[in-house]
Amino acid sequence: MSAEMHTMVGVYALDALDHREQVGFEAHLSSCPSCSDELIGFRATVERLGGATATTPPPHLRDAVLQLVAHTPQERRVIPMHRSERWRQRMPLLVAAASVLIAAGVGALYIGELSRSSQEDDVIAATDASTSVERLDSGTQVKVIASESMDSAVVVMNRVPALEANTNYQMWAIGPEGAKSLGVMTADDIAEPTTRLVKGIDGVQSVALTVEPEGGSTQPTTKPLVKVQLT
Amino acid sequence: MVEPVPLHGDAAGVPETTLSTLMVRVAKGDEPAFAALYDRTCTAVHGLARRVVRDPARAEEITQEVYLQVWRTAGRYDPDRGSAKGWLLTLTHRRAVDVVRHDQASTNREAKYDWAGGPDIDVVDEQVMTRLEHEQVRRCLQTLTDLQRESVTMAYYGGHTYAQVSSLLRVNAATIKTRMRDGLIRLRDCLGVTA
Ligand SMILES: [Zn+2]
Repeated sequence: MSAEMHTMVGVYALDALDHREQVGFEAHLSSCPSCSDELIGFRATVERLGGATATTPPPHLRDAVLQLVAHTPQERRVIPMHRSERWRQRMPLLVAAASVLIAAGVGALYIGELSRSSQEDDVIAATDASTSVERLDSGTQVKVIASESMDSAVVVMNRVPALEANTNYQMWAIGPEGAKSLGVMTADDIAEPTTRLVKGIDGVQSVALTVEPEGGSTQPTTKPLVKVQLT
Repeated sequence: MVEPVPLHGDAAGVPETTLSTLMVRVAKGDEPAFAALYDRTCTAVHGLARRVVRDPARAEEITQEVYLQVWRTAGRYDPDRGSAKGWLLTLTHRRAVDVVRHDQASTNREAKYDWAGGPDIDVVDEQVMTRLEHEQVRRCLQTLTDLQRESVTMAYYGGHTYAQVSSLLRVNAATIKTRMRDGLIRLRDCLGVTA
């Protein structure tokens, strides 16, 4: 097993392991000085492969990025921590939390606060994060970045249409048992982009956004503006 | 208030000390430093995203997400663990690979592009350093055996797992793993990577 592990360092440096193998190899890496050593050179090599491609992005992208940044709080973190270390620390807790959720069914959905950007970052940066996106012709875009291992997702909404008077947006998690509210958003909650952290995604098949009467509804009452299918 | 950032070099050839210094300033919320970081690295980040996902709109999304992530988490960047550009490219590659694998899973678009193609240069105002870097990488890729080169480029530029490479090339997985490692060793030595 261990001899086979040593051959994986190249595959790992190329990001060519699937998620599960990647986690397994990171565990090996922490206790294998020869792989860690070899990885340093491989990382630098792969960096040269990456740096050898060049495409100038369109100018509008620069404007969009700088504008987003001007409105995005930075994570407050003093000590840089290595990803795999954080991963190892959290792993047992996550496994425990996931089993509790499975035992309880899809009962633990709740929506986080907008300001918890570091939790959002952790989901976005998770090695198994996968992105599902739905775009409308109007330019509205809703993206769901979900991490199974963290049992969480970040919903990012761009160019959401303005609300009419006395209405709110409401976000829903749709699973085999129907729709569960992920929270109500008023016109004041809509930013560019609007982001929401969703914890407890076990069993969730899609995330939908509907327009509801002020204060929200217990079940969706309108056809979703956008529905993002998760994979 | 903010001292002007000296402008020299390009995405591929910026002295690393400059990028690391910029990263430190970005971590403190310095927006002009962030803009300078973007200007100096965006052709490399976007180029890699384009190379892996192929689709221009998807590549733009990845580029935007990577820079947003860099802004938010700049404080996590640790110069002792590698170069700033390496960090950016790692974030870009992982995200691009996620998108490719996700798209493959949902639409099964098995891309019909030239696997062995190596790096792309698709830039109007291509700069000298990038071209030199490109030439050197291409030359070194040619020193690999065909199977080593295909394994490395299909994984890195194609976003495929070694298991996918194995089934696409009809070569057993253990052999592919070994060829990826051997290929990287040869590439590392050819490029004169000293780390
Ligand atoms: Zn090892």
